[in-house]
Amino acid sequence: MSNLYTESAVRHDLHKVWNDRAKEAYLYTKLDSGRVRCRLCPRSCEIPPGGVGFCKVRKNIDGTLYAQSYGKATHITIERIETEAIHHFRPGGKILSLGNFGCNLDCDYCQNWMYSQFQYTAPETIHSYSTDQVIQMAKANNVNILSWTYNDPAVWFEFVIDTAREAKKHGLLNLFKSAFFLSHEAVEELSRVIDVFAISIKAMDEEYYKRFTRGWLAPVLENTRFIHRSGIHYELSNLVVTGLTNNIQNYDKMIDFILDDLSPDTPIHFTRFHPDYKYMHVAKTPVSDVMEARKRALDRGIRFAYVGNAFNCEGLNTYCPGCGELLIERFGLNTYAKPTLGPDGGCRKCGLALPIRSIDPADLQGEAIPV
Amino acid sequence: MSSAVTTKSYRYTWTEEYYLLHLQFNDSAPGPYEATLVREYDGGKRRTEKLPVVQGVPSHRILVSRSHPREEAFTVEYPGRITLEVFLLDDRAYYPTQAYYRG
Repeated sequence: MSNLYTESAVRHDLHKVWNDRAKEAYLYTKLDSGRVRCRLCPRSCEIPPGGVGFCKVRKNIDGTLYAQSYGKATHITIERIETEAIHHFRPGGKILSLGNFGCNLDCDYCQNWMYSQFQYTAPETIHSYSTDQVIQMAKANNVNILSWTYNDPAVWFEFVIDTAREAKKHGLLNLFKSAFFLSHEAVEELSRVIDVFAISIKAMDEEYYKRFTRGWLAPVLENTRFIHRSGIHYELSNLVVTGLTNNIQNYDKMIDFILDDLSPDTPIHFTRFHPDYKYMHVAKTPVSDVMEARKRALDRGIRFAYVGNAFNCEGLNTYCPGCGELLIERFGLNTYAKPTLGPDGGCRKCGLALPIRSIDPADLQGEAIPV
Repeated sequence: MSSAVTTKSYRYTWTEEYYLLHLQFNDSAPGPYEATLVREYDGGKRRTEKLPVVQGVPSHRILVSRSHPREEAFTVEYPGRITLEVFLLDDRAYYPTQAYYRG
């Protein structure tokens, strides 16, 4: 259910009272007079002593920048990888999702605003986890992928880096779902420990970014190009917002970016919006709109276009781009392998190899309903 | 003195509006337990799944997705000491905070 924002929403303002020195931040520079400059994201916040950055979770305490949310999280949640708009890596795989607090954007329609906008986060919703606890919970429950998600894990940078690095020693993989509004050096650091990136591009328009997200687009695109060149698996999603981005111009700009700068094999998920936070005055995006975006992408040469936040439509399925055969059928976040899907992700009908990585038959369901 | 193991259950009927839920298991005395999900389809067919509950933590969530258009409802069964909270999800990457059900 949507969380309606009002001017009288309860503010807890924990950033004003927390003074946690447990973890010194990475990526910052000490300046004169006790000030620091954060280098985590393109904002490059210059923070005076006692102050916090735009994200409200990186605090200057006596001239040193500390990561206030280190080891503090929402509940862990067991989900499937499709939750993160990832269809071509370990389809059907279980993930251990972790989110935290704060964000370096402030999107008008944020569905997680009670966490992402830290002034509204209630203390009773905050839980503590250590790196070791996260790893042990994943291993004990036979989950092989940690998913850093929900608010935007960008501002949980230190805990993500430390835990992901340690998790890799235990054979675990790491998925990072983000709006990718990060500095280049932050993305470089992440690329050393992250196995899958789910990148959310809000729109292909600078004015849109400034007006509705309080960020800007250029670094998001540059970071995406960098990950593409790195060879790390990534998929894109584009939130199709009623009245804002549900138009052919937005679809075409997104498609142009993929075809010109990335690859026609890059999966793109056109995702439905629902009213939330400060953007309550329009309807949920119709399925027909995201299906139109998907069709446009396929017609123009993108090979894997999907729709998101839909339950029952062909836009969720994976088809062979060579012969059109249905290979993976989905209802909501449930994934059913068809007999035509080969163990290496190829199409058994025409023999085409598809860029689907790390398939584990144990993750895939066979029959959608009991026989 | 031994005490009988009590179980609780919660039944949810799917609607056109939501196809995703978070089940939050709150364990007042963290210890081993099991929980199951019984999916109910039209025509009376059922499928029972063991839920991947995380042991030894005070609370955590599990995402449940409607599995097929013919799935009409499900029932979650869990030990009496557990308090279940159910959250409706508008979006797959959503972390809701207001429970739809608690019991």
